[in-house]
Amino acid sequence: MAETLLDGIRERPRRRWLTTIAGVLLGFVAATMDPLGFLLGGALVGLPARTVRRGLATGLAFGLGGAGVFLAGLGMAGSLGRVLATGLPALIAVLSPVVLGLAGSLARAVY
Amino acid sequence: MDTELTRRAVAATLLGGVTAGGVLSPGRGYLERFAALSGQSWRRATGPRGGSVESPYGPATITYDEHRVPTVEAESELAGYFAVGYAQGTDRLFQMDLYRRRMRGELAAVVGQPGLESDRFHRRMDFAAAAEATWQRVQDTPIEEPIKAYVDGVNAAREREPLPIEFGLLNYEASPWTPVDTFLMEKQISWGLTGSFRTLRRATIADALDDAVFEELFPSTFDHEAPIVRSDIDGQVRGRAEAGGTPGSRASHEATAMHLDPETVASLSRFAWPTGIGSNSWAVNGEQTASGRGLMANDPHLLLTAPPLWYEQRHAFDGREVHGVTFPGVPFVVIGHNDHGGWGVTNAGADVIDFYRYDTDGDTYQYGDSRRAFETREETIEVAGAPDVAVEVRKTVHGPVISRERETVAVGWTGFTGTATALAVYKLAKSRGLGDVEDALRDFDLPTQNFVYASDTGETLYQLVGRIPRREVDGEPVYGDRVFDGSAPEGEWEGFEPYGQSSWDGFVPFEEKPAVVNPDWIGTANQRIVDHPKHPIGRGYANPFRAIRLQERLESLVERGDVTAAEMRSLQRDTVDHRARLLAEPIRAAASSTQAEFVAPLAAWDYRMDRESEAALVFDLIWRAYREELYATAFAERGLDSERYWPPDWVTATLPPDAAWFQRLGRSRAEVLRAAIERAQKTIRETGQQQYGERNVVDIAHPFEQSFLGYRAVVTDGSPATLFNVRRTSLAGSSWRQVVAGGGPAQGILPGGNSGDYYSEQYQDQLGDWANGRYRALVGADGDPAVRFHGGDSG
Repeated sequence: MAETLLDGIRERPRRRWLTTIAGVLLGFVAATMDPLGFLLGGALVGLPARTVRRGLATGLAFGLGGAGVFLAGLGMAGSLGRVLATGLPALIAVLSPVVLGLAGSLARAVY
Repeated sequence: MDTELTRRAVAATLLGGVTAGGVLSPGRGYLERFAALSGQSWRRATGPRGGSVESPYGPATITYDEHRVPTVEAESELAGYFAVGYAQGTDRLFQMDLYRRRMRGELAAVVGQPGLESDRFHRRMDFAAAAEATWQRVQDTPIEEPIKAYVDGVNAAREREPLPIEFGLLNYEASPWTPVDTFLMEKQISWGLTGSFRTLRRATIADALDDAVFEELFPSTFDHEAPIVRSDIDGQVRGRAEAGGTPGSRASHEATAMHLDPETVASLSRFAWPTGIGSNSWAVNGEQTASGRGLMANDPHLLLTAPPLWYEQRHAFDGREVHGVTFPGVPFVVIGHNDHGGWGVTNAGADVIDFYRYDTDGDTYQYGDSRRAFETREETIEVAGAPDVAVEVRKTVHGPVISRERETVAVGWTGFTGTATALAVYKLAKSRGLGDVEDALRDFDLPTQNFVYASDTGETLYQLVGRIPRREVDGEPVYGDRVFDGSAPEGEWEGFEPYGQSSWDGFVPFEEKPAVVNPDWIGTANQRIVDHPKHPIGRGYANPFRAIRLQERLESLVERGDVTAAEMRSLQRDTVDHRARLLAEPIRAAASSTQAEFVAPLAAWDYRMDRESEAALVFDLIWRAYREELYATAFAERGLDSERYWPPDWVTATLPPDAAWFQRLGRSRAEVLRAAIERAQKTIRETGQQQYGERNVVDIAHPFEQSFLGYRAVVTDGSPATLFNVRRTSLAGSSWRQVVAGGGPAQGILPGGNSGDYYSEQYQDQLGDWANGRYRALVGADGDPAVRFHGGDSG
């Protein structure tokens, strides 16, 4: 069976790392423009993983990173407390990158 | 193989499901609003942009002080007003948008069904057309270009600055600000202050009560000796009848001749401000002050909201420094001071709204000798999350029509025409003393206000401002507190053109309105203006508790002489409740032996409604229970269910033991008081409260009613009847406190914060000081500008 592009990336650590980093960057840029950027980012970082399990873990990590970047930005701006005080909206904000990042990485289980 | 396929299928289904949820409503809506990084609700969380901004009007700067009060400096007036627009558009855009939506009848488009009734009412009143007429009125005047520059500044901020959180929560964008929107703000505050359904309410009450009781509980005037223009006042007095009293003084509720449904009137009242909204303002002539400068103080008691109704700003352009407050959406300082003097306003209680009934078949109405068709058009109200709703807007020659079932009345209000108040306010900022101020006030069409001024050279002025209609029935001047027969027609306003430009020919001339030039002192608290005005003004005056206390203290200070600004601030913080002075002794006298201990704190009390006072707690509870005992059941039995129908507090506090009302109740005053004491005791037992401060908590909410957007609850002093004013139940009170010595120095405080940005450190930074009666010095900001405007041709 011929080697696909994804197989080539998954089998070579250097390519895998480069593709994952590119996925992270692309995912974050997309997420600043649209919430589905986290879904895209999750897929992009999950697909190069060697196994499905690792793909899902990478997607989850990407989502957690997204939540972390969001909270850190608010912390630096001095508005973290006020954002958290909004309750449900803040919960949606924190959970959205995690859920979407993990969901995006499900692409690894498909391809 | 099968397992692999199944896994892929499950994963693909999950991925597809999440993707669909993120693309389709309502999941998409939540994500757009709240997702991390891109959520609209978080756009402002990292603060406003500020920095360098292109302006077509030339260089200017905005420098904020630690309370986010902007000091705008500019090389030209137009560059300055562009910057003022930018500052307001940055700090208060949602509030501005909310208010214009309310006045245009476009609330439901963003808040859904809860906004629908308000939209129906505001469409029917057609405030938008009135604002349009007002914008036409001021074109080709000196304020046309400043307003255009201001509007451009608001829109520059709207396009450039991150939108406030509320736009994200409601998931919509602000449309461009227009000059007409600015005049909708003027209409809104004017409607709040003078758009009263008092006439309809009184007619409804008169219909439900017998004449003797009505006259006793709802007198046309309150019997007290503290009108604004007292008989012993010095200075040059205008607008007082020479002899023979005021024409048109006869009682007029009988003339209404119309049955009004209490529920209809109560529902209309929801679109008026709560009754009892008032303000304090006073001035002391330089001859009586320690500095020789005139002193003035003002604290308008309006609705307490988050953010506050007022926006504080300072301008330094066009050769003038002006500092004060305005309504967001309005470029000019409304209450404030410049280099030459300070000014303020209180509501005058003048009657500038009339109601007309008709001989009508539903499609046409009789008007004099002719039959006329209602001017009718249909509008569509957009409702978020529901189908559009049609509303019919109908008008007669007198104004917009309110119809409920078989009742039809038209509303005439001086705000339904082109008005020039903004021009007056603009001129005030440029004034150089008394003469300029009087000249400016001639254009102050709306709302009717008690205007108070004190200059740096010591001059003082009281002037009733605003257009006041003169009505006649059968050739006799009358007050406007009746429903007029619009078909006759009677009570019409000569020179008034609804939704057009009025000549004001038939209105009270400026020279004949009550005024006092250079009084030693003047004290206004929404009380009766003058005992015998030259023309009927109105009868919607406030309970005189504050006025009596204010004049008592002012008189004493002036008698002593060398009055100081610190004493003015102390007076603004005065918490003596005149209701308590009137009722404490009758309460103690009525108490039973088992109640004596409970009311004992009233004996040695100084009548101050202070937070740590036990007596104030006891009085507050008994007062409320006394009103309940007097009116709740008896009025409800007469079909008057709303508390808005209850008699004014002055009547309640002064109701004598032999009043007819006690006979109607079948109980003596002492019995009613004992019942009130018992209820108060029960409340104390249930709550365990020991001090007034445990009850006197102000919890200021945001109009959007999201709890996190509201302010923190604060304990404060005062009551609805004290100079240090707060109405915790209707959430009204001192919406701005200001004390000015001539052209400065000045102190002030806002009930909240100057920033309307939820994320800002200044969202509610003044709240604690406001609650505790402290002030800030009103001085310009120094330091680096937050916004620099460049470009343009310097206006």
